[in-house]
Amino acid sequence: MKVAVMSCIHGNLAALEAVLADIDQQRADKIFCLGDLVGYGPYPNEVVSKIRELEIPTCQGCWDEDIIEGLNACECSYPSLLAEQRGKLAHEWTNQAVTDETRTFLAGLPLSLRHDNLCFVHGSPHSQHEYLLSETNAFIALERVLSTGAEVLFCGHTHIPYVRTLEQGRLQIRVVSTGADVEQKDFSTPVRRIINAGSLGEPRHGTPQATYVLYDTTDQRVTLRAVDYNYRQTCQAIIEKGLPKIFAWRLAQGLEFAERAEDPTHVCER
Amino acid sequence: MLTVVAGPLGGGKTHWILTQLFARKEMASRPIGVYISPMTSGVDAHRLLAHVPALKVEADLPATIRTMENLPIYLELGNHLSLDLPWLAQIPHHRVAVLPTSADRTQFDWSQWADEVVQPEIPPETTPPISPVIPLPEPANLWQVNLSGQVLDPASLDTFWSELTQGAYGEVIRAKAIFDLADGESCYFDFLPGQDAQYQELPLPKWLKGRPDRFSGIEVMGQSLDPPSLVSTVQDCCLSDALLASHQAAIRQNQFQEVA
Repeated sequence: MKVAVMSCIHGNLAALEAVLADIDQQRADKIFCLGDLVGYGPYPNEVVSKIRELEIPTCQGCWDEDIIEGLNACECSYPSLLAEQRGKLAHEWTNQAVTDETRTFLAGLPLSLRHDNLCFVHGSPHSQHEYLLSETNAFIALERVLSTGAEVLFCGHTHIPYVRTLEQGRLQIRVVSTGADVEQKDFSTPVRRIINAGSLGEPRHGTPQATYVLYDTTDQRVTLRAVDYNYRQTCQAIIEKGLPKIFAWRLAQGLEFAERAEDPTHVCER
Repeated sequence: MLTVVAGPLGGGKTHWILTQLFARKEMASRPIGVYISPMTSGVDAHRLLAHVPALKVEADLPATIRTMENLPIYLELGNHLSLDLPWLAQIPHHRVAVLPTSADRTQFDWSQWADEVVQPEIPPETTPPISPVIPLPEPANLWQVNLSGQVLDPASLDTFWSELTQGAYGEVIRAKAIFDLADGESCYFDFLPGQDAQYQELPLPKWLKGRPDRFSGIEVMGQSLDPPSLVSTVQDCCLSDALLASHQAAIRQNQFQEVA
């Protein structure tokens, strides 16, 4: 079975439509979405409508949660004062733009999805706000996959796609008890994979192409797709709808609207 | 003696003046020269002052000539100013054109305008390398703002400067600035297309208590610049009173612990 996985659409309807057309051409059997349907981009309601119309299984992203719960990130979530100002502006705009129907849909999204031996989350199985980067400590990465019980963990949130294979994992435990010898236990772990789907609507890899991944369950092949679309249309809408002009420029450059936090493993205490 | 210094954009006019001043630095106990750069926020003037504190910076040329006739006076003509100088007809002066070897000499015959054409001399410890010379497009405009008292968040400044120099606020053909940063440093930023941005910590004491009582500011020359967005972004990079106090207290505490 060929599975298409997309993430971080961020209200970019033109990118979503282009990716859906590409998925159709690639003859994918099933589509999963890893959340962040809204935030920064100009079409939050339209993106949600499209996802609902196509009944695409979707888990909740950090932006989806912030729109329901209210922005409550601590200041260390932002790498700079500028990113904080921009994040707040985007949140205020999106909060005013989304309909009650959209809000209700976002509130009902699950934090993770399962399909056979595949697990789908936005950030990590621990939190929508946690970043699983390609360079995240291997022990932490392995722990996150093992905690799901799945063989393959799909995530997004970082906006940079990658495939990471965790093999020959060994866990070594030393048990020290009073009055007893130190006991050492070794465990080996089976091969596990983390596949990051990148960002459909807000890439940060230097071009505005919308990215998603195709995964073939028969041979475990992963294909990263980068799809051209009319990003100028989204840029125009960003400006016309009153979002900060700099978002349009950053989208056209393939830069995120606001950079991730300096400590990407940080998770806000809420 | 008045020396009028001109040359193509990014050609090294201020560098050349700095070199002349360095040659007189041994007399640093008293003023060694006067610098005037009309209609600019003062980035070049204050960069020179940071390196040569015995320099005097003035704005009124006739008054300066009357009262400081014994000092060398350097009048730097920015590229936004006309080279036609009828108002200098009655004032004895020497015209210097600073022209790097890379300059396109077909665009303007500097030898017709200048008494002397020189190549910039770069004191390696103080100035960025010579830049390629950029022809000044028409219409170019100058956006400048005085930021004295403002302290910028370095991470925000990094994003802003990167956006600025990549064209997010219009096509930039020259940008230079002096910023006070959260760690107390005063830094000079310099950008010309086609070269890496230059950053230089100025030899000034770290300002660790309250808002800095010294110059900071930015000058951007370019086309289709977007001043409202520039102002708004720079404002978003600036620390509030509370954040500044918190940063400065943390730095002073660290310094105290290091000494102890």
